[in-house]
Order: sequence, then structure tokens, then C-alpha cells
Amino acid sequence: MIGIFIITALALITGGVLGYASTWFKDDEDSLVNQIDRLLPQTQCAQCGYPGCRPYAQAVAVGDAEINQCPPGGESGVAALANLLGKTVIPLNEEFGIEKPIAIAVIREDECIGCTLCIKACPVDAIVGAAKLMHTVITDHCTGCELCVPPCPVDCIDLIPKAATQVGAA
Amino acid sequence: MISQLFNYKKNATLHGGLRFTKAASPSIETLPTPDALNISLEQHRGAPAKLIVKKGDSVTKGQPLTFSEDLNQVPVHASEAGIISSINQNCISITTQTQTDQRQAEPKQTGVTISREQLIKTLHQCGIVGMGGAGFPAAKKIAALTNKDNLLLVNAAECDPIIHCDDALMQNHANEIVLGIALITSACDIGTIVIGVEDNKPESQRAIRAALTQQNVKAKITTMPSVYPSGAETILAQLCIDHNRLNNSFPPARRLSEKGILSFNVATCFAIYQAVIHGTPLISRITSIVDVQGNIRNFRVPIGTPIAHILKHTKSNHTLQHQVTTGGHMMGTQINLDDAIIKTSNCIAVRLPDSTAPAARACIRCGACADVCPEHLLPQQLHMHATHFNELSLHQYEISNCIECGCCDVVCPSHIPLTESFQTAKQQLIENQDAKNLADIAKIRFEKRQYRLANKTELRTRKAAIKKPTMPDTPLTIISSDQGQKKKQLIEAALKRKEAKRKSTLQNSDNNK
Repeated sequence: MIGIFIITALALITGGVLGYASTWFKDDEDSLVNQIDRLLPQTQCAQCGYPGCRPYAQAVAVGDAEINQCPPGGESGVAALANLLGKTVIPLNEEFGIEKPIAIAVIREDECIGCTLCIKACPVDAIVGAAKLMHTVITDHCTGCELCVPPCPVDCIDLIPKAATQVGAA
Repeated sequence: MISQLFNYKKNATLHGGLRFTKAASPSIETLPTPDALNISLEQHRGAPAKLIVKKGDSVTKGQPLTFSEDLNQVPVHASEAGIISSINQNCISITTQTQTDQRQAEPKQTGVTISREQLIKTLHQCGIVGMGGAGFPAAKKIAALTNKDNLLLVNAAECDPIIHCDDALMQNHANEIVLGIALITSACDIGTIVIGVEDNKPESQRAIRAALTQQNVKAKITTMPSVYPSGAETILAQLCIDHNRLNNSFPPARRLSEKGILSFNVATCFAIYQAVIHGTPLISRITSIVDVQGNIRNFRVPIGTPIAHILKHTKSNHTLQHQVTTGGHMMGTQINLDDAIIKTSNCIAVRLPDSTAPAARACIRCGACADVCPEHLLPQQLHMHATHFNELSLHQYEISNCIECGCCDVVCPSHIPLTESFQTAKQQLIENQDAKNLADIAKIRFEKRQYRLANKTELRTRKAAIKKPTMPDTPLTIISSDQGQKKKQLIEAALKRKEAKRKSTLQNSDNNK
């Protein structure tokens, strides 16, 4: 009889502790999204069909999107995602674009009319300028997402491969 | 190839490393002045300083060619008098002229003392960099020293078995080296001096000891096994400095400067003496020249001397099929004949390219590489992870601690180019880290922008919600005749309110009393 009481009491105590622990040390629901987000190149180019890297990560986490929709991440990015999610490595879906060398946008400043359209398009605020004044790209912060190219009314933005623009950075 | 050149045997006292035997005469020879000098702007770790000369300028010996306030941007000087013939992107060419008045700079003072700030300034202006091979700005090294209880470690060990320039310097200029050491210690208030000399250089050791007694400088001379790579800073520290000092910091400091250890090569000490006492900038250095037969000779060469000029005058009998390397046989890199001597060129060697090297075979996991690794790493594991580029494992096996000494390459029975694979893996790791840092910044900027835009729309909708109901109530224009009366009424009301308030406060204060 005493034995039954002791076992029941123990069961109740441990049950209580476990229940308490499960509510207090809750699994971060976002942790998978964060993990996926960390593997993405953070170009914020929206080529995957989502408005940025984090929305894409959320879609991948819930299974709405495939892991091969990120052209800047390339084949290595797909492999990393497959490794994380335990999926098989699949080739990059070319509907969303092809893997290109990392480039940065450069504004031909003589031709810029100061329309501010590219400033609004830049997902990482890497273009500075004001209305009717010349704009320029902060090269250190440009991710080469190409989102500034289509809005430009005078087509004065070029994408230049990053290797060519780095001059003796020590 | 390397094993054919020298007889090596494993060393017993220090973990890892290889013992080579090679001797050279200690005399320092000179070469005729070259017709042209090519002075590189990038002779150190860091960005080049700003140019202050232009094409066609005539320069005197020792005149600064570049200038910068930043300690990372070390200036370079004209090694000989002449006219600047051309300036490329990172190289100044000077056509030398024979100077009629050979002004020999006289020593300013003998028992000179100098403050730390003055020393840093002088070293920077005289373009002194670490002359062992790494080329770290000397002024920066002293400025970075923050600890109270500092130690000066003088590196008198050669960094490669075929290099003997420091040996020659010690035997010929021991007094100057010791005076340089005394200058550093008095300026930086350093109590302990440790000089690490290899055991196969007894003459150098004797010369330094004699100079120390003559100049009345107290220093500890540590004789260490002449084992390659004992000249590497971290290995030297392990051999010369007691372990309590090295390992007492937590978390373990990797850099010597974090442990309060200032480390200078003997050649740098000599250059510091020259700079402070004679005011001579760093315009020449002693370089070991190794010819095809493997004979080693030491020459004093002006910075900027073209390699072709040196090889011509040392009669090295090299042909087009020979490789010219700088930095020694173990860690050396190939250079062109058009290249010139820079501040860190401690050795110029000519040798036949490695056509006889057997092809690499698979790793048999013998562990010979781990036995010789002076950094206690496991090269066979690192190699495996480097071929698969397993980032996490590479970090776990501490690839960043690899000093790329090449000992593992020499002993590998399968002839695997281990060091090469570590270099590429390290480079890849650095690139990945850079990309990751950029991605992190982009992520933060994107998130901040999203937040800002969301805030903006929210603010706009809230404003619209406030405005909409009030819009029809407020008349857009007030009839002018009413306007005056309304204003008067408003003013009167305000005055009344003010009066009432004054009275109430007065009453309150009365009550309080």
C-alpha cells in the first residue's frame, strides 16, 4: 500500500516538473526558420518568388517552397539546405534564375536623373541620393540583387562582377 | 626534393619540427649599385601609404617616397639617389645616379633615451617593419602593447634552413643589435629580455653575449635546438619563455602581444638602432643568396634591387629553366626576375623545378605528419577534412593554428602536398567567413528596412484614421468679420482661466502656511 502511494506521488511530482518544463523551456518555433535563413545568401533578391530571404525560409520550413529556388545560393546552397532538412540534393530550378558570379550594382552617375525609383527598390538601403540629385550605390552593402535595374527609367545601372571591383583591399 | 637537399632527422626536444644541417660563411658582401631600383609600395602587412613624389623628381638617398599618419600604412624610402623614371600602380622605379658627396650619417648621441611615443613615431617614419618575413609594422607592434608586465623576445633563429642572414648580422653587428634592444626596452619599460639563439650558431651567441656585457644590458640568452621551424614566432615563444607566462591567460591568447610579449627579429632590432641613432630609414637589408649548387652567401642589398641584377652579379649560373624563390626552401614562394628586393626578402634561392617529385598517393594514415607538426595538429585528419571541405571539422582540428611550415610535406611517405591543401582550405574558410559577414549585414539592413516601412504604413493609416472624422467639422475658412470677435473672446477666456488659476494657487499656499 505504501509502495503504491510513493510511486503515485513520484509520478505526480515528475509529471508536474515535466509539464512545467515543457511550458517554460518551450522549443523555439522559429528555430528551423532561423536555421534555414542562416544558410541563405541574404541577397534579398526575391528571385525565389518570396519578398526576401526570410519569407522564403518560412515557406521552406512549412513545406510551401522547394529548396532549389534560390539562384544566388547556387548548387552549394541547395546542398546545404538538403543537408539541414534531410532531403535529397536536387538541381537548381531554372525557372527562378541561374547561378551567376556575385556582382554589385554601379550607377553611371552622369546619366542618373535623380528619380529615386532605385532607392525605393533597394531591399538593403544600399543606394543613397535625393530627388533630382545624383544617386550612388554603397558598394560595401550592395548584394547584387538586381532589383534596382528594372525601375530605372534611363537604364543607367550596371551590374559588375565583384571580383573586378575589388582593388587591393587589404 | 627537399629531403634530397638536406639530411634531416627527427628532433627529440621540441614536439615536431625537423633538424637540417647547412652551414654558411658569416661574411656580408656587397653588390655594385644597380642602374635602376624598383621600390614596391606594398612591402608590409597593410595598405600602402600615399605617394608624395611624382615622375621626374630627383630624390636623395633615404628620402621618403610615401607618407601616411596611419601606422598600418608604412612609408617607403629611396634606397639610392636618383631620378624617378616611372610610377606604376604599386611600384616606383628610380634610375640611380652616382652621388658625389657620400654623406655618412654620424651617430646623434650614444647613450640616447627615447620616449615610447617618439619611438613609435620614428619607427613609422623610417618605415621599419618586421624583417623576419611577415612584415608587420614595428610601430604598430609597439603601439599595440597594452600589458603592464611586458617581455621582449628577440628572435635570433633563422626561419628557414637555407637562410643565414641573421647569423651574419649577429656576427658582424652584435653591438648595434644590443643597442637596438636597449632602446626598445627603455622606451617601452620592458623588464625582461629573452634572446633565442639556435645551438648551431655558437659564434653568434658569443658575439651577442660579448655585446651584452659591453653595453651593460641584462638579457637571458636561450639556446634552443636548431630545429626547423623554431624561427616561427609562436614556436620560438614555446621554446624560450616559461610556460606559466605563456599559458596563464584565459581564454588562451593566441597572439603573443595579448600575452604581453613583444617579439622582434634581430634584423628589426638592428634597423631600429639605425633609425633612432643614425636617423637612417630602412633602405637596405641583408639577404641570403642561394645559388644552383646550394652555396649560401649573404649580401647587403638596397631595397628595390632587381632580382636579375643580384643573380647577374652573384654569378649564380641560372638558366631559364631554374626557379627563383624568396623566403627559403620550406615556405618560399616563386618570384620573377623582374621582381625586386623588398623589406621582408630574407632569402633569394635559385633551384631546379621539382620535376622528379613523385605523384601523390593516398594517405596511409601512418601519422608521420602528426609527429613532426610543431603546432601539435593532426595533418592527416586536416587533410581529410580539407579535401571534403568540412568546415566544422576543420575548425575543430584547429586549421587556423597551422603555420604552413611544410614539415608534414617533407615526411609524408605518400608525397601528399599537405601544406598546399591547408592553404587553399584556409583561403576558402576566409572567403566563406567574409561572405557570411556580408550576408549578416545585408540581413540586418533588410530587417531594419522592413521595420521602417511597416512603421511608416502604420503611421500613415493611423493619421488617416484620426483625420477623417474631423475633416467635415472644421470649416476651411473663417469669415473675416467673425474672426476678430472670436479671437477677443478666446483671449478673454484664457485670461479668466489664468486669473482663476493664480487665485487657487495663492489660496493653496495660504492654506499651507
